This record gives sequence, C-alpha cells and structure tokens, in this order.
Amino acid sequence: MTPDTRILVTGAGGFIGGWTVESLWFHGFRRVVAGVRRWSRAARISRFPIEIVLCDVLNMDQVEKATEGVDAIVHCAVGTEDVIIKGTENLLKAAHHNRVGRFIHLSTINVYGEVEGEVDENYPFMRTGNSYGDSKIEAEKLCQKYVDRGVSVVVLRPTIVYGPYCTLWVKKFAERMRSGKWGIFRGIGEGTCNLVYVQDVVNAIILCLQSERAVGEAFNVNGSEQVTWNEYFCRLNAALGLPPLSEIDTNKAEFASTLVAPLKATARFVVNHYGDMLTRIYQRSAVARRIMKRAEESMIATPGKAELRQFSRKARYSISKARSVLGYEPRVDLNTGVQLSAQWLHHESLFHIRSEESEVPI
Amino acid sequence: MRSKYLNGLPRWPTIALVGCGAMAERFYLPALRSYPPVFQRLILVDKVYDRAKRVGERFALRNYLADYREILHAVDGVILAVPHHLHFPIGRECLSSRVHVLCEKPLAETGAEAAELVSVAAKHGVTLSVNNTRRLFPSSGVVKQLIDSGAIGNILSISYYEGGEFTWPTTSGFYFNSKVSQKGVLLDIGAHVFDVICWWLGGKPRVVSSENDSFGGCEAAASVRFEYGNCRGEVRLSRLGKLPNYFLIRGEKGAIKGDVYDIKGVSVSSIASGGKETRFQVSVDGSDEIARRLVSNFLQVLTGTGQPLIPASEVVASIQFIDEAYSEVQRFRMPWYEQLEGAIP
Repeated sequence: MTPDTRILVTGAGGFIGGWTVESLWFHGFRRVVAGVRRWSRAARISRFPIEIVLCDVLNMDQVEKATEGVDAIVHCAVGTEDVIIKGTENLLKAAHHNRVGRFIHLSTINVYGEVEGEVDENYPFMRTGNSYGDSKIEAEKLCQKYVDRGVSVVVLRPTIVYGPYCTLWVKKFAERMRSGKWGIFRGIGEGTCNLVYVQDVVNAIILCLQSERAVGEAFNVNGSEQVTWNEYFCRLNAALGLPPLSEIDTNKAEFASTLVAPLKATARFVVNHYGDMLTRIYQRSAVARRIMKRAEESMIATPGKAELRQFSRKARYSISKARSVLGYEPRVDLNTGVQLSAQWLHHESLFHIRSEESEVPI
Repeated sequence: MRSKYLNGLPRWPTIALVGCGAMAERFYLPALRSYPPVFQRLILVDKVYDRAKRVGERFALRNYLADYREILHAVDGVILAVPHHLHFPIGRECLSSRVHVLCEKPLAETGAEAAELVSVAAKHGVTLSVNNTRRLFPSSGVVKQLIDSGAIGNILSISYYEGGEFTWPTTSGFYFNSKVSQKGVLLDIGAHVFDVICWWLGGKPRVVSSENDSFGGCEAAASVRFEYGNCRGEVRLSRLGKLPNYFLIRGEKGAIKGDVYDIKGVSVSSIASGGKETRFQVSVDGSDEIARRLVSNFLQVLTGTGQPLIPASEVVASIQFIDEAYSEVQRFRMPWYEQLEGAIP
C-alpha cells in the first residue's frame, strides 16, 4: 500500500466506517474515498478534505461507479438484512468485475451465536434468529464464494467496538447513567464485556490491507483486557464524573424488561409508521413533549431481554490468530479508551445544554 | 389568481429559477405556483439538464434548460438557488446583465464577495434581495420590536444554540464537498443566525473567539463568542447532534427566549414583573406563507411596485462577521484524534 492507494470505505457515515476514513487520512492515504448511503450521513467525515461519494450498497449503479479505479474496499456498511447480504454481494460482484486488489469485510462475533468460553475462528457459525448475526453469516459465506473466484477478501470479526462517536456502547450507556436509572446488575452483569477500542479495529483493518497472508482468512479482533459488563458500567460512569452506580435488583430488572418489551415494540411501530405526525405533536405541545421524553427515558433505561442475556454471558474471543498472522496487537487499554470516550461525550455535552438551563432566567 | 400580497401589480414578470435542488422543489416552486401567470412562464435551469426536466415534469412546467446564460436577456428576474459557492459568480453575471436577483442565503461565501454583489447591483440599476428567511419569521420580528422598544433594556448577553443531525435532502451534496468549499455549518446555519443577531443588535459584533472541528474540510460543529458594546454573546452550531435549539437574550430589564424553530413567537420575562413570562405571538400559517411572502415581494420588486423585503446590503455585515470567525478559528481540542494527528506523514 502506498499513499496513492485508492481505498473505498463503505458505510463511511457510520461509527467504524467514519473512523476508518479518518484514520486512513491521518496515515497519509489521501485518495481514500468515503462511500455514504445518503448525503445527510456525510457531516462527520466531510470535516476532512476527502472525496465523498454516494454508495448505497443496494444500488448497483452507485456501487459500480464507486468501485471504479479502486485498489481496495473496506466494507463497513451495515443495515437491514438486505443491506448486509445483498449489499455485500453487490460489492463483491463489483470488486470482482473491477479487479479490486483487496476486500476487507467487517463482520461480527455474532456469527458464533450466543456461545460461552474461549472462542477462536474455528468455532462454527451458529444462527440465533437474530437478524444481524444471521445476516452476517450469509455475508461471510458470500465472501468465501468470492475468495474462490479470486477476490482477495479478508474478514474481520470485531467484538464490542467502543470509542468516541459510538452510539451503541458509549452514548446510549452514558444516557442511561445520566438518567440515574442505570446501575450494577449483580449476578447478571458478570458476563464478559469484550471491549475493543475503535482505533485498534482500524489498525487491524490497515494490517489486513497490507498482509498477503491474510487473504481468505477471518480474524477475531478484540481488546487486550476483559472486564465484566458491571465493571465497564462503573468505569464509564466514573469517567463521566457521575455518582457511583447503585445495585439493581436482578428480579426487578428482568421483570421491567418483560414489561417494557411490548412498549418498545409499539413505540418502534409508531415511530416507523407515524413519525411525521409524532414530530408535529412533539413540536406543538409542551405536555406531549414532556410525556414523550419521559417515556423515551424509561425505555432507554430499561435493558431488553437480549441485553440481559448478553450481560451475563461468559465468552472470550481469542485474538491469537490476528496476532500471529497480522501482527495485530491492541494498543489502547480500557482506561484510556473509556477516558477518551468520556472526553468525547463531554465535548458533545458542551453542545447539549441541559434543559434546566433553558428556562428564561432573571 | 392574485395573492393578498400582490394587489395592483401592473404586469406579470418573467423569471427563471436557477438551481433545481431541494430548495427549489420544497420552497420556491410551491410558492411560485400560487401565481399561475408567472408560474406558467417560469424557466427552470439546472446544469444537470435531466434534473431540470424532471422537476419541470413534476410541476407541469415546459421551460427548462441547462445554461442560465441562454435566458438572461429574456427574463426580468432570477431566483438563485444553486450551491453556496456559485451564488457569487452566477449572481454577478445576472446582475451585470441587468437582471434582478433574489439570492438564496448565504448571499456569498465571503464578505468581500457579498459587498461586490451589492455594488454590482447598484452599478447596473437592479435589485439584489436575499432569502435570509429568519428575518421573516414573526418571532424574529417580535424580538426586534421588543429590543428596539427597550422592553428588556440594554442587551447584556445573547446565547444562540442550534443544531441537529443534518437531514436536508440535498441533491448534489455540495454541503460536504470540500473541493468546492471548506465552509460548513458556520456559513450554512450561521448565515441565518448571525444575520438576525446583527439585525437585533443593530450592528456587527466583534469576534472574541471562534472554534470548530474542521481538519481542512467542512466543519460540522462551531462555537463563536462575540461582543458588541456591553453585550457578550455565544453561538453554538452543529450538524452532528441535537442542540437545545433556543436563543436567549438577556437585558438589563428582562429576557427574551425563543425556540429557533418556533416561527410564531417568543417568551419574555421582566424583572419588574418578578420574572413572570409573557408570550408574544403573531399568527402565521407556517413556512409556506413565508415563502409566498418572499416570492410575492420579489414579483413586486420586478414590477417596480415594491422594495426588497431583505435587501442584500443588510446582510453583508453578517457575512463579514462569519469571515472574521473563520479567519480567527481554532480547532476544538479533540483528544481522541491526538494520537492519530501524530501519524500524519
């Protein structure tokens, strides 16, 4: 790879895709091309002087255009089952047609299902009925098909990727902690939280772009420290400067989870089908605003059943293969990663003035 | 059909709408449709001919083309709804051809360009109006009246926070193309915000500090502190996440607070009343009515029966202020990039 290598990153408007584009730019790859599904996803990456193209992976015209003259593809785009399976196939097809030199496919440890114990890359795929994990299995099978056709595909299976700009494992949990309704789940939260800092994942991607031995292989990408989920909650909470978390009764948490599940499903349906009407009501009525905010806070603060299962599962994803083949070594320890995440949240909170400050003061 | 805004027009002018992107489809065309004699003769122009054609077909219009130069001799006025960096070159060409212009905000990318456009318009005896829509919000007008009437006394501070994830359905994506412009949210949203602030204050403030998150591209978040006499102010803008989206103006005698998206009115509290809030509100149908008002004003301007609601000369100061904020900008401290910054070859 040279600074002139032209690398297309799909899903560049997302968390990992955005970090990949930015890191490649910092490393001197000035011909990196950021592929976004729609322009509105480009705000973060457009802060860098890079080329941004529309690349909805379900739109074959856009895919063909975006992959022309590209030396490598880092496929970070994610979404519905269709996006994951058909989108990956479209990209592989285009990579094959355009003779793209390297194809890095971002998969997930979810392809192993809800396993326990030490898990390496030889562990078989296991479907769970979860659309995300099951679709990623199909996408990996397609990758293998195209390896057989000569495309230089490398598959990465990152664990719990966290860091600045992460909504799922950082922002969402910080909101839960700030709500005062989150805590330590004694018994439940003692499962392994396989955190890997986003920059380490990007480093693994860069190694895959460079390594000939990586082609046709899949690699777990994990961090160096394994803590429990409760430990992660405590560390993030402390880094945010919030009062210590209190213990949450396990039975109550499970009961609340059962109770809130249909409400969450209903809320999702209403938002998906009557979003515009909801927005109008939200904008027009202060009472509706308060009710909606409280309902949202309660739903966010209550973990779902799948989450509770995840918090209790004891699985460790080995990175021995990535170490020996790629030379991968996680560099960002948990304390540093959590601190950087909290600093980002603090920066964000500068822009999120608390509502009590918005009263008209005299 | 004649609008309530168009009593006594001597004739219907011919105009061209240059730029057939989201602003044209969502703002100008629905408003122009209220004036059938103008609408039927409207000429749509977009450098992407297929886009002009598609929009024309959608609105049942027959006149569309790719190059505005072909029709400058045949129109009374041009509505300019092209990407920001094209406002200046195309605007100057139109004005130099003695065509009246209604320009989308920001008037130009720099204060110098904005001033030159005003000067070119004056030189050729044509008008240059600008769509700084916030000026037309009844809420902004109420604020202006309250300040001018001394309702809150001398202004001590202004805070203005506006942001949310970028959702505007841009067709060309020019907002994110750092090859054509490295100016982001500060120019895009700032053109509205600093225009009303300058208008409310009655002059151009001085930049005290300016920060944003650009690495050579288009900034997505910006923070500017300013002062104007005894007034201190702060503006925060973001395309990345939701901000509280309100403005707060504190004066010696009271305070005015408004929701940036509430076009109807604001809340006012005064020390004399013990901080009791009073709502000042003006009836308005919504943003559609504001669009019709702007368009009808332009038609009046074209027929010599009215003056621009927002003459370009009035917004030059705010563009100059934005210039200053860009020239003094520092990057936010973002520790999560520091290790990577060390990797720059």
